[in-house]
This record gives sequence, C-alpha cells and structure tokens, in this order.
Amino acid sequence: MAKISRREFIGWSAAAAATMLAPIRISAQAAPRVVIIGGGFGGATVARTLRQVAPDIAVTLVERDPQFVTCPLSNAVLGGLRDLSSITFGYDVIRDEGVDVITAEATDVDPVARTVRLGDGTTLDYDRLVMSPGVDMRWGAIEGYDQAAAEIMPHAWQAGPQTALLRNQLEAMEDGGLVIIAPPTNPFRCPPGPYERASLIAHYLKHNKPSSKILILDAKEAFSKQSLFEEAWGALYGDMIEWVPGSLSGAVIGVDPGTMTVRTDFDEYTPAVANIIPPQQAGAIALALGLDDGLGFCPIDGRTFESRVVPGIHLVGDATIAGAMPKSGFSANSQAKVCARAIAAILAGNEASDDAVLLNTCYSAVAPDYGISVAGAYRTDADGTLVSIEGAGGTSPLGASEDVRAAEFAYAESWYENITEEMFG
Amino acid sequence: MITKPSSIAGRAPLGRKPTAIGGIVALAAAAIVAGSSFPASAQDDGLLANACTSCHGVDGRSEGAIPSIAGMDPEIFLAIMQAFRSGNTNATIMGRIVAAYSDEQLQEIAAYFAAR
Repeated sequence: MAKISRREFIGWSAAAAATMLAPIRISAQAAPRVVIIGGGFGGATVARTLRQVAPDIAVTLVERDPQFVTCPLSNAVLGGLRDLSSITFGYDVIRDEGVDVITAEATDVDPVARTVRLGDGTTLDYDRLVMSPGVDMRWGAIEGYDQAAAEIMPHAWQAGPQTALLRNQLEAMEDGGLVIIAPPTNPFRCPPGPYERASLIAHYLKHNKPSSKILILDAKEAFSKQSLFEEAWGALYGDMIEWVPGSLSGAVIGVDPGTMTVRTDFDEYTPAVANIIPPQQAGAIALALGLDDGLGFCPIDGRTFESRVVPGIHLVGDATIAGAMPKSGFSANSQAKVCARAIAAILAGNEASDDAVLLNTCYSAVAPDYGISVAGAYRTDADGTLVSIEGAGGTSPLGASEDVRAAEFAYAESWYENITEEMFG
Repeated sequence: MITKPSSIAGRAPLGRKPTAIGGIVALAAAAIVAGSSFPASAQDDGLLANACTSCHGVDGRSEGAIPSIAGMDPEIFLAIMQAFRSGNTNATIMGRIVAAYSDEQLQEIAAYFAAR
C-alpha cells in the first residue's frame, strides 16, 4: 500500500471530487455504508453506537481475530486473580444486532475509491471508514528486541497469548527470582499499566515466592499515579518493588534473549523473567496509509475523529493523537461514541456536534481490595483539539482510608463489567 | 417518586457500606422538600449521557458496585451531582468528573437517564 502525502491526496481529491462527496451516494438511495477496521474498545463501540443512533447505516466490522482479549484486567491475570477466559469476548451480540462482522485482516485501503481490501481479496465499499487498529510494537527500537525475542521476553502489551506466556513464566520462576518490567517513554498504551502490573505481580510473588524481587527499569523520570503507587507499594510490598528512572540508568537499550540479558546504559541484568514493553506506534494499516503524517500516531479532529491527513477516514483509540486524552480502552470507548454520532450526522447531511464531553478513568488495582484511579474530562477547542476541562479530573487522594481503596477496587471491577457489556453484550 | 435507595447505591463493595450514599440521599430528600424545580423541557439526544454509560452501564443499568442511574428521579440525580460538586461527600471518582459539567448539561443528562 503506497503512502500518500497530504499534497498528493489533495490532488487526487480534486481529480476525484465526484466520488468524494458523500451526499451523492446518499442521493443514490443506497444505505450509507460504514466499514470499521478493528474490533477492540474503539471499533466495537463505534459499531454498536451506530446501530443504536443510525440503524439505517450498513455497518461492517472487520476484525482479524474471532475473539477479543482486553488489555484492561490482563494484569489481574498475571497476578493470578483472574483467568484469561474471563477477559475474552466474542462478536455474537454485535453480529445479532445487524453488524456484518467479518473475521479477516484488512490489508489495503484505497481512500479515493473508498474501498477496503481483505486478506482473501474481497473488496468492501465504504462511505466512511473507521480505523481502530490499536498499537503495534516498534520492533528494533530496543536493540535485539524483535518478534522472536518477545516469545522469550514477552511484552504482554497486547493481551492474549503474550499474557499467558508471561503468566506461565511467573509461575515457573523459582522463589528469589528477579522480574524485570521495562516500560517505554511516552506516549504509549495505558500509562499506569506497567505499574499496576508490577503491583499485581508483587501480590502473586508475596504470597507464593516472597524472596523474589521486581525491578522496574523505566525509560521515564516519572509515571502515572506515581505517589499513589509508591504509597501502596511501601504499605503492601515492602522493598519487593524497586523503580529505576531513566536518569539513573533505567532505560533499557538492548536485550539478548539467548542469554536472558537486559542492558541499560551502565548496567546489565540477567533476570528470571523479563517483561520488555517496547515503544509503540499506530497499528500497521494506519501507518501504511500515512495517516500518522510521519508522527507514529495519527492526528485527528476531536469533533469527528476524522483523520487530519485523509478525509473520509476516522480513527479512534490508541492509534490517534488525541490531545490531552491518554491512550486507554476507556478513552477509545468515549471517543468511539463521539465518532459514531459524528458519522451519523455527516451521512445524514448534518453537521457534527462539538458539544461532547469525553471522559477517561484509569482504574488500577494495586492488590485485591486496593484500587486507585485517575480521571479526566475533555472537550474540543476551536481547532478540534482535545483539551482537558479545567477544574475536572485528577487522582485518588493520598492517605485515603481502606474503605476508599476497597471501594475503588470494587468500582474498577464494576466498570469492567459495564464497559465490556456495552461493547460486546 | 423517589428512587429506591438501593438502586442509587448499587451493591455495597465487598460487604462494606458505600461511604457517601446515605448522606447524599438525605441531601436529595432535602432538595425535594425545598421544592427545587426541574425543567421538564430539558432534552438530551444522548451525546452527553452516552459518556456516563462507560462506567454506569448501558442505559445507566450497572452491574456491581457502581450505582445504577437508569430511571433515577432527576431531582435526586441533580442533588447528588451538586453534593459531589460541592465536595460534601466522600466521592471517589464522581467528585472529580462532575466538575466538567455545567448545570444545564447535568439537567440534560438527568432527563436522559430519568427516561431510561
């Protein structure tokens, strides 16, 4: 698939102006068609919201896998609190609601002809395309860390087999072993995720292999909900978890899976388990189309989530540059609702609203009955950039009571039940 | 009609009593006694309310500890939101989120969930 520069695209658009005008398709009396690539928090929510608000639109959801495993609560699987099956969902309900769910890989998009090609050669026409491709790992950004290395030093930053692999390694580890967790620089999927992971692995080790140690080798100088995590770690896990910032030679610059070696600028480690979370970028299909404008993630207009690079293509979720919104399943879900309503408005010949309030809450479990959170609320400015609403949002308080921590843990579980019900039924 | 306290509180997390809800219901009752009026014309096409369901469940019907808000009396809904906004409760999440909304927006959302 050829990359298209903005300039080239504008040229093509002028040449193909007739096919670019959605109202022409509508006036042809055919039901407008929306194709969605990616069936995660963003894509599944766009599909179901469209069925709800614009039942006349024909919706096709293209997803590579027959089932979706959520990243949220995958750390609970690593900590032995849940089974992988409890965070795995299918598409039957979405299909029953009239969405054409196709299990296939979308291999190519022609934004001028407005077609999507699938792995088996099938072509789908669309009036509006939504991409929710999530993130891909930037293989090679850490020397020696490629797809083969990830089979020995799992990232487990896409839930599923990688999660199971890391869990198996933790179960097989001897007491007294060293676990390294290596988070990347910003931006990356789920900013508090690596630290929740350290917490729940510590919970498992404390009860099963108490002489073990967790070393967080961080590329950053600070992290999400840091003081809350550190307060909890001190109270629950003593000195089991140690965090090393980038300035103290924390950043992992190379690995050798053959010798289980993890290298920073000045130090070398040979852990029993290495969870290397590499830098990330928008999913391959978005990059192949140049939707990232060379930035690694894709700029969008926050009122419609339409690409700033190629008109007619909308993007939601971790693949986007969504201003102040963090990359999270919650953000993707909130964005998807706004995106679906905007598409419904556009295809009906109306203007999309700019009145939405988007939300994100990242709950983190530090242990069973101990939850913390960070919340944010967002709107668009005059340019369609997503900005934080002043005075709203923030983290759980430091020094809160056991009841508050237990309530937030229960809310996290309840949130998960509700949002997955909303996405998958 | 006053919504049953049980549907406001949802299930108490892990056998503990929810921290703030009793006080909120009292506040809500006080608001009703004081005769605060709710504009019946407030409408919402769901754009604002749609964001709430990520936590509070489809149509505001929640599983588990997060309170259900489907069918909630709008005056109670608004009284609870005002209590969260004033910080007079032990809210965990909602106190941080409610600050994002104007009174008008909250009225729209209240009307939306009242009709579910």
